[in-house]
Amino acid sequence: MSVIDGLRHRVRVWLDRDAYDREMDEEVRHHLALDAAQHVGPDGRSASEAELIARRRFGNRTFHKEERRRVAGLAMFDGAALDARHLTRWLRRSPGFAALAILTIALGIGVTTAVVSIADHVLVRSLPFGDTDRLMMMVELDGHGGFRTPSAPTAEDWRQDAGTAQAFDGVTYVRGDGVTLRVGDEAETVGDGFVSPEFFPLLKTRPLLGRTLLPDDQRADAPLVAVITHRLWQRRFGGDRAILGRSISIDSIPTTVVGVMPPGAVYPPFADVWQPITKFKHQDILLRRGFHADSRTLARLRAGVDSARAMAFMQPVARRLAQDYPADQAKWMPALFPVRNEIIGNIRPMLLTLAAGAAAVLLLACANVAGLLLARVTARSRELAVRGALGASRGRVVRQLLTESLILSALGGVLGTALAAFGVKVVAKLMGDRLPRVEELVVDQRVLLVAASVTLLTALLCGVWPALRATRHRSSEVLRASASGAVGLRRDSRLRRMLVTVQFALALMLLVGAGLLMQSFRRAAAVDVGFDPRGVLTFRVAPPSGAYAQPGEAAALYDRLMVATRAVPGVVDAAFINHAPFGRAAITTSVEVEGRPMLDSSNQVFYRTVSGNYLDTMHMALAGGRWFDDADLRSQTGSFVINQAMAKLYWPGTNAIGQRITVRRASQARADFGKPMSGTVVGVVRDVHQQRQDVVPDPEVYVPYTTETWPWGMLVVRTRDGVRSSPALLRAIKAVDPRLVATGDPGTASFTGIEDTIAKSLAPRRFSMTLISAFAACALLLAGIGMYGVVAYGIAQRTREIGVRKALGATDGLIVRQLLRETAWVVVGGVVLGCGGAWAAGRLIRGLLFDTQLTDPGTFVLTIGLLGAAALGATLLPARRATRLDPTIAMRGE
Amino acid sequence: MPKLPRSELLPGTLEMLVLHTLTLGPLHGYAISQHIEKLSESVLKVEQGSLYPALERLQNKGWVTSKWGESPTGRRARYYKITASGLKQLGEETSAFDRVTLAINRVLKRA
Repeated sequence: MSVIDGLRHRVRVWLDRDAYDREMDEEVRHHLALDAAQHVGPDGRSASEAELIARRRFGNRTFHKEERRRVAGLAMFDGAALDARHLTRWLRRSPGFAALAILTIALGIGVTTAVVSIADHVLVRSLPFGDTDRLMMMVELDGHGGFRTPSAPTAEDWRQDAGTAQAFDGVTYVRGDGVTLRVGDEAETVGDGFVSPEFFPLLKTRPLLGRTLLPDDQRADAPLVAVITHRLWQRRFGGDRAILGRSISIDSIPTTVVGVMPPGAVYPPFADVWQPITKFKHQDILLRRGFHADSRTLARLRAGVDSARAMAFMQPVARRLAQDYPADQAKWMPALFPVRNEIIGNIRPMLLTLAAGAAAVLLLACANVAGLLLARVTARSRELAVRGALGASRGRVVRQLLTESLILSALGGVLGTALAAFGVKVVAKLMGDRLPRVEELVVDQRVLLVAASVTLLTALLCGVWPALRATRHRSSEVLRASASGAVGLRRDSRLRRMLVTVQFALALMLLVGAGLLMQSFRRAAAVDVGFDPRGVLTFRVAPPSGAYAQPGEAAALYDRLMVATRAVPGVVDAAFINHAPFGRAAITTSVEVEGRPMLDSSNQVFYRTVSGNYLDTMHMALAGGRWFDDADLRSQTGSFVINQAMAKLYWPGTNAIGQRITVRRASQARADFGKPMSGTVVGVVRDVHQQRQDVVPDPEVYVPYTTETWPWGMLVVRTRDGVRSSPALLRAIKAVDPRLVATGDPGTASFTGIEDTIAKSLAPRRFSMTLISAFAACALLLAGIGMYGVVAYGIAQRTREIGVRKALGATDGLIVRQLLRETAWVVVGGVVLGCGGAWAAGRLIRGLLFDTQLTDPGTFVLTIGLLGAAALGATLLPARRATRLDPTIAMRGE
Repeated sequence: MPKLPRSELLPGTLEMLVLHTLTLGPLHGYAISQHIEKLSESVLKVEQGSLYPALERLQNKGWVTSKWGESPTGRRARYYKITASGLKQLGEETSAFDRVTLAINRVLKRA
């Protein structure tokens, strides 16, 4: 047990260090007193003589005490106090250096943490469902780029298949529909998801209030109930907790709200209300094998099964369906898309790019601090050598330097964390309307933990290495070297230059990345959408259920609406379409080209039914042929207008005009749904971007609204005053029929105009651009600081040399030019290295670019210019000190 | 009195002497130094001050413990006491030391 006894002794000593110190002194005094007593008296020695003898016999008291304290482990503590003293003195002596180092660490940690927090929030944490990565949207692909959602019967066949059951925890079909929600006097159209009992358990999300839908709710005799989204609850009911049990009117039927889902938990993306699928009005649609629109089929992968294996499990059922229903299923194979991608898009490229950016910024910061500390160590090599010569051990010196860098990192870390918290707050304020669930955006614990480890890592990276280097030189060498004034150890200055070169390379990569993203954003934002969106407002107009049920009645209603809105002051024109551009809804139809074998149902094009003046109202342009004329509208002559994308797809190299095609009626709410319509292509319009500017437009066919009249639709109004006209327009709509429900932009139901919607459609692009730009700006600043440090220390080291040269007649210009020449080499090295790095890292970012080459010359020229300017500034600033140097003082040296 | 430099004491010897001394019973530092001085008069000479780091080392190893007590003269003093493991260690070291001295003696006699 001797080890334990020993440990107990040590701990006791450590715990009461001051008392032990006193006791040691007391013990020695006692010893000396006893010894002195032995020598006093007999030989007639005086007390003071005896004391002297005792002291001599005892030896060097200080030495023995130090030795004893060292053995007892107390010297360690002296060292720490000493380090702290050294440190405060050193910080006071060179506040500029400390500020630069702390700022560098703070920037590195702060910016990295803030960006990672924001990215993590937007890309990962704002996902509302449990284990979202296993949630899959099931679709069908034809192998030629065709894509559709499965019909309800197909989804049901999949669900019941034994093979499918091995791949998934569950499969469920969701039917979408637009319903009229009336609360008090206000009515609006909202998306309704009609779901099966498996739906909510599959999402793995608990309701915020109340309950989700239960199997009993599906019974025919069950009372009508609904679960609503958090956003609808906030918007329509002001977040009132008394919503549970309240009756609301859905399509004029009283329905009880039984639950509210948590923020962001919205699926399908169009849904604001969920109801049992047995309450869906058009049950016949659920039986149609060929009906693929407005639905989602959702599945959750079993643990341990990936997409590829799941597909293998589904092969038998897919083959069976292809045999049983050749017309509908022969060419189509099931496929899976992560729900995550549907909610926030494919974020992998963005995540990878951001991770690389964060790593680069952190690396830059570390290189900077290492460079600064190294320069500092070189500058202090004499001091350290003197301390070594006076007996400080190598470990002692290393420890002092380590302490310095640790304290710098701690300060930088604290400041960086504060910076991150502040940055996140600012972003939340600035981008509040553009980020999902921004109220939950904080620097969270995990990210803080990452920041803390980053701090520690920085300390180790930046501390250990210069410290080890510093102590490798023999004291005598350094002392002799500094006596001759040539302290600037060549190797060290070359090393620092290399560090800055690497920094410039990293900064260049980030700047190029940011530049390319900005260029892409600029080009995407500048894409001609094919119409003039300025001042165009859209209103989704839905007749009350039951009214205007006949196509003729509805068409007459739309006519009256167009007339009424055109009469509103400030309105230029008004038109009607089933689904307006940049709305979220759209529908496709199959196309058959006369004289060609019918391929299969993969011939899908987007289907628009429009009023006669739609082209003029939207300021669209014809690429060939003509638009619908009065005769087309009046007598259903069988005329179609298509877009260029469709013309190119079906009649490449030949003229589409005059070709005969057959499309099918697509309005689900009409009895003639799916009925074929044959006719002639009379015109080709220039492509209109329907969803996003940075996505190539899809093929489209336009049909006169009198040929197929949609049961509801979008009133498109071109105004001179934009949003300010919307109250007058809403009044005009109500004046036509007060029962009409008119709503604004999809999702938000506000009236901001199509121009704003277009701008918002680039939000993901803007988001990645903004974050990478933050990194790039930070990188530029850090590289500048690094360059400044190297040049400033270079000048400080060569004070004597510069003094001598000035005394010998060198002009200021000559000296500055030499400094600039050295800087230029670093910049050139950095640019060469950075271009290589940018080329290698290009793969990461390629997926985020739009209409921009990786080698975009403008971006590179601008980036190199920026870096050059930063380097110039970082050189000229300290260079002024060199020119102000008084040669006589400089040469007198230290 | 010939003064031998500290280095002439074989490493560990002082610790062994202290342990040996403490077999007499609990002693304070000065008493230990007096005893060692008497035992090795004019042969092993160390600065008395180096006794204390040695005592510290012995305590770290758990071979010696200490506590404050009263000396016969009525002064407060720290008394050191050998532990059971200290006694065991002393036994081992003494025999090892004996073997070494024996070997040295043989070599020297042969020479």
